[in-house]
Amino acid sequence: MLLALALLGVSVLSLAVGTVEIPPANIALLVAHRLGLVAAARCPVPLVVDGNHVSCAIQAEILFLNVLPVVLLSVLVGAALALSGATMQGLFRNPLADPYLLGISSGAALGAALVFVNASFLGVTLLASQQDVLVPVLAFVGAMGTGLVVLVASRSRWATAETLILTGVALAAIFGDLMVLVISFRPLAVALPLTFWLLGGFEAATWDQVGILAAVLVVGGGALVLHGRVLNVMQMGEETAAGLGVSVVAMRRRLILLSVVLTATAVAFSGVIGFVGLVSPHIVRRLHGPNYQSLLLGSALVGALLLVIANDVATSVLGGGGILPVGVVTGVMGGPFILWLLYRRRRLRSAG
Amino acid sequence: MIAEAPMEARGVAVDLGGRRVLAGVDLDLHVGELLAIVGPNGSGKTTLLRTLLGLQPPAEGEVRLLGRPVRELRPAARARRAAWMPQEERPSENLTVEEYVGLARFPHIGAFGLEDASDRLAVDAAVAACDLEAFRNRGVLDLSGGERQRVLFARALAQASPVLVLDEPTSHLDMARQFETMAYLDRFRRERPGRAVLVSMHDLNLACRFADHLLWLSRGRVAAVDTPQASVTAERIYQVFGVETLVQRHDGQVVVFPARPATEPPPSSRGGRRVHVICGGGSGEQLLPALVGAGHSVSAGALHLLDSDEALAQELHVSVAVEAPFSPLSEPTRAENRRLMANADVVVVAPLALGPANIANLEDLLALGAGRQIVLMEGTPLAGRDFTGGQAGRVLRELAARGAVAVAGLAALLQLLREPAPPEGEPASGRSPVP
Repeated sequence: MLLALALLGVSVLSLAVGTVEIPPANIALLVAHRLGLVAAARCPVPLVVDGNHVSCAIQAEILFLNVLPVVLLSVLVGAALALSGATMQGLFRNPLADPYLLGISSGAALGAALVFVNASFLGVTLLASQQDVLVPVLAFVGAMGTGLVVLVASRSRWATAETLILTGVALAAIFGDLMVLVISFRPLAVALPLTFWLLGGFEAATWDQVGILAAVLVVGGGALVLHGRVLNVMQMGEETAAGLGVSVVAMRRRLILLSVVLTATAVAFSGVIGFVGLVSPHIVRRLHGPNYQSLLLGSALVGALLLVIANDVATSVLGGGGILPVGVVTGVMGGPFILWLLYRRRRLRSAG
Repeated sequence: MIAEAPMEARGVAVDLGGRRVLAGVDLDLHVGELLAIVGPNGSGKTTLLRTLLGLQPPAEGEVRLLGRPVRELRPAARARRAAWMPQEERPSENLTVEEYVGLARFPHIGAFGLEDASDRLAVDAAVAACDLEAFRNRGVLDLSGGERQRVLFARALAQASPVLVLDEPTSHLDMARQFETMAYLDRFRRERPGRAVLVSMHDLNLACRFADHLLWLSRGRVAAVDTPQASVTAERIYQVFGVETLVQRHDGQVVVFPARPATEPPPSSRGGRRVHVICGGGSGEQLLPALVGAGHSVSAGALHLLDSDEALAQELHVSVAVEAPFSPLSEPTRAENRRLMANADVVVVAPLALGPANIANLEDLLALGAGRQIVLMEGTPLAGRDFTGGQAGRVLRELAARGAVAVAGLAALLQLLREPAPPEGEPASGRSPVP
């Protein structure tokens, strides 16, 4: 509950953070106008950027076509990644599991690389706008493809949790190298936008993306959140879980599918943003204990919160309109956290 | 109405990795019964249990759980009939004891159902039954091994399944926890009608103490099913476990202990003598190894099983006349001991504590008459180790009067044994004993 309020508060404050900083009073008015609460859209505080007066109509455009989708997308992506990360950690009983455990990020990267590197696709020369659409589509296809290969592998009767992880590692290696291969036939300059895409960001956020991800999150994420009790039982190991009446193999497949869909959709719109999916569940464990019945939803909220903050940092830290890739920010924040986590665990273990 | 058999298996065969690991297994678990599956590592105990629970599909045969074929049961329905405690469980999250015990309600609530009063009641009752009230909010990973075992058992209780199946629940526990675990199982099946316990073990003594029947599993086949009294024999243990054992029966209890392979004593080539030692309670601790080390052919007795000297003698491959623990010497043991003494050149009486349970050793020695040298080792004054009310003193004085010599220490004894045997009836070197 507290988390939900914090998320709401930070999200609203985030609207005021950006390359163009719209005064909070104007934001309040514009939102109220949009909601039909205020008749006239007249901004109370004048906004001047680089000596030019920015009209209220333009402020509204910036707010609704740029700032708001960015904030919302960061909320949704954070929630999706953290939820997926918590599921993976529970499924594979591994505190270092994350949404990309099964090689999904490499699949997405390969898909995106195919678009960036080819100015034409299937013989059709791409316009920039078409590219904007194709990148998420192919990234999603690549991510889902990887996930599905792992899922098919999980049908094999040899598929233990360890085999699946190793399958993911192998696929990540294959796709990673394939991507290098694809890039290496092109001039180096082509690789730059791909690199930025890989590091993740929300600058290109659109309402369409927000809508799609929101729908996927409500359906897939909603389904995942209901699996808290099953995940609790699965923490006791496959043998006990089976003894308690869980169809371990079928359940594992279902949870992988749900979390792969969530991750693939998030990756398609935002690139590969690391650490949020790994770190958020651990924060919730510290706050609320390891019970998956609260851990899943809690992780989603914390993930959303973290990514909104990370995005604020990314858009404001450089100043002068420069935007840092969000992935860089989460990496800088998340890396030390992992170290802290590792050493805290060790201390606990030696105490016990 | 006749209650359905908790568990029934007919002609079960299992293939793992293309190899048949179980074949032709029949099993009946009756209401109220505690059935132990015993067998060595790799005999198929775990596979059998998993097959009986429907976790491993059999290649042949059928298993029924409370009358229903187990393969027709949905996982949750199966879990409501039989609870499973695998050999090892490593929780990956530190749930509280209460949450952990609550997992047992999964087959009742389902993945998406809501807990109701009956679930909470079952958890509360199980927590109380296992004395875990104080631990309710502790993390399971922070508990000791014994506490963890109680939590595991509480979970099995909360599952409220009439059949409880456990895979070697005692294998990593100390003796007190082993007994406690077995006592819990015993209580489980008695507490409410219709319950039954199936447990695999490799500790035969523990199985004999608590189980109604033993099912002997040997290389994937059932070697025998019977009560411990009827089915535990040294022969069967050799057949199933491949070890030589001694089996003793006491007051309806069966006790199994390892037998040392009987090897020939070393030849008396280095001037070794045949020496019999009357010791016990550690009084032979230095004597026995020293005598064996000096190349003498040593025997000992009569000693009680589990006496430290007995264990030592077995270890040294010394021939021993053995009596059951804490009992007065029985006639067969005394006869065996007389034979060992009669065969000896020298009988050494260690400074042992003498009581009603072993005074017969000295009386037999006295009754044996002349024919061997008798050495009385000095040590703790007799007054401090005579628990026979003076009888031991009388026997020792009598032995001294017949020519027994007193020796002050180990070195003197070994020296004495190096001298040639004195002619019969003549006292050997050494002082006259002062009892």
